Amino acid sequence: MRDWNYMPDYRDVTLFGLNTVADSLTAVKKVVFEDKKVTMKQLVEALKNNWKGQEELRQMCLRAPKFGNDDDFADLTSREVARRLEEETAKCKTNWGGSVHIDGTAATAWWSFGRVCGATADGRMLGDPFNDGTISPMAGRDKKGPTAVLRSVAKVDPLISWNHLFNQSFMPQFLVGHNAESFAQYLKTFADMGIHHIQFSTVNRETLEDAQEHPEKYPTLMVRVAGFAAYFIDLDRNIQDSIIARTPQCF
Amino acid sequence: MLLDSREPAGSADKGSTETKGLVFNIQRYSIHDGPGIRSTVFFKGCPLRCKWCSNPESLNPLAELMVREVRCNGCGRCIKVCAPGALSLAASGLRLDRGKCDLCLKCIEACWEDAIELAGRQMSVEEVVEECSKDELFYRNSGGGVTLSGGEPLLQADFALELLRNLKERGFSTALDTCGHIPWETLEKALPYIDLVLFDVKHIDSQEHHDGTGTDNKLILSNLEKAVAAGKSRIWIRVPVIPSYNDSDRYMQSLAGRLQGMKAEKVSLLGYHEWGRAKYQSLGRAYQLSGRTPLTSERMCQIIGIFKAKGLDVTEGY
Repeated sequence: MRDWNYMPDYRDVTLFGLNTVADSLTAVKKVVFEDKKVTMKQLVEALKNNWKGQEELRQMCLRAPKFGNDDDFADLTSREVARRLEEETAKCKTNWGGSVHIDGTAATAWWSFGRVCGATADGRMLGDPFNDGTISPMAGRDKKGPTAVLRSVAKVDPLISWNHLFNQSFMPQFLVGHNAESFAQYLKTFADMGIHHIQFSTVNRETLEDAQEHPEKYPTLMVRVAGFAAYFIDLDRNIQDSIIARTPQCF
Repeated sequence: MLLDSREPAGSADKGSTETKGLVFNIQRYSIHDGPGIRSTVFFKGCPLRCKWCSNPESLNPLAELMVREVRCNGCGRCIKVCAPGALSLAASGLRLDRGKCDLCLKCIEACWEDAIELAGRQMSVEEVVEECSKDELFYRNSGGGVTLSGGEPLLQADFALELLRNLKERGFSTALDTCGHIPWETLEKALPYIDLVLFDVKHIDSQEHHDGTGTDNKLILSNLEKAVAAGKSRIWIRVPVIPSYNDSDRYMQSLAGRLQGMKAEKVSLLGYHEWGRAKYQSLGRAYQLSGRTPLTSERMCQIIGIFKAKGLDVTEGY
């Protein structure tokens, strides 16, 4: 028998939807308290009705600052939410006297629990997924490129609440030749910023084809073209086709 | 060569960081406009009219709207808020009468699909420096920095100069992407604050240059020679390779021969592409170069071979 020195002396409270909460609080701060466009009561009423008949208000909330754009107004809300959650859970003890911590290892719960959650003040509709992973921005709301996302993520301390899952998508072209060098330097900087976790996916052919048919679903899908990156849906159809055609060769 | 750009005390104009310029984009994680990870600041306004230009929103020195029809859902909210009546809905999509538009930007606010966009925003030197400072750690880890591009940055000479000075003061490496068609005095003043010049050479024959870009190349080539002679900055020569314009073996031989004598660090070949075509439509302009197929990678390799044979350092794409 091995002599185990390691005793798990803590239990975790799983964290997901952090940035849905943060973006929602940021929207409340902006729309209700700063711009005074509606009262809190009106907003809650709109949420209860899943924004029905309130598209104007929903758009206002969608346009409030969002996590992932290197904007402190939004990012520091996320930091504050994570910190306060940890502060509260730290007051608890397990039945065995162990400590309790906030832990982001929620795998895909952000998607499934989103299915059963009502509308939220960030502009999200009933049943839509929460933000990806623990700490990734809400899909499509980060509009300033990958370095801005890293900067936002780095603002939420992973030594207070733990295991922040962070997913990013890149086009395969980002990982080839000269681009690969830049990518390596990008990773080095990720580590220097004290972020604990990152994982990448590369966009595949099916996604691009779907984006051609449903451009409204992919407002910020970035593709690497020749000497620059562009929003896929803004490119000409024939250009899109050529990108799709060459993508598989890049793996 | 780095130059200590700190001015003697008292000489700096106190309000200088408030100097404003017209910028249409600041692209972070830019990895093809000089070495490393960079931020590229795009200036609006250009003295050339290259038929292949992939940033048509950079040409006009004034702010303007871009209408992206692919995003428009035809709801008509923008039309209701447009006081001068510049917007209308035709069967083919949203129409903008640019003569009537007074750039009040109410349509942008009204649009829920982000189908209307403003190209060109007045920004102060301070604002641009602040935005560029955000990725400082990336620059440091990658040997990157800030690139001024456009358009032609030096058309807004005071703003560009003040920006360069401030970027150097913050310790950033700077690059200037220039078409070269600017008074030598302006370029000369800027050079001490530029680590790397990305100098475009579109055609070495003056008449051909005029046909492709709308101006001859005399000022451009003389500026290039002077910039090399000044020896203040590293120089990369950028050559857009346009099918049936400047892509023949014979032309490339003569270009390589011409560049051989110059002490440029590198030649960058930028292959023609049509990625900017949709932007012409959103600006209500016609794309002038149709029916040209981008060069194959085999052909680009052949051209690279021509430059290598003359002993030049050459890369494709950056």
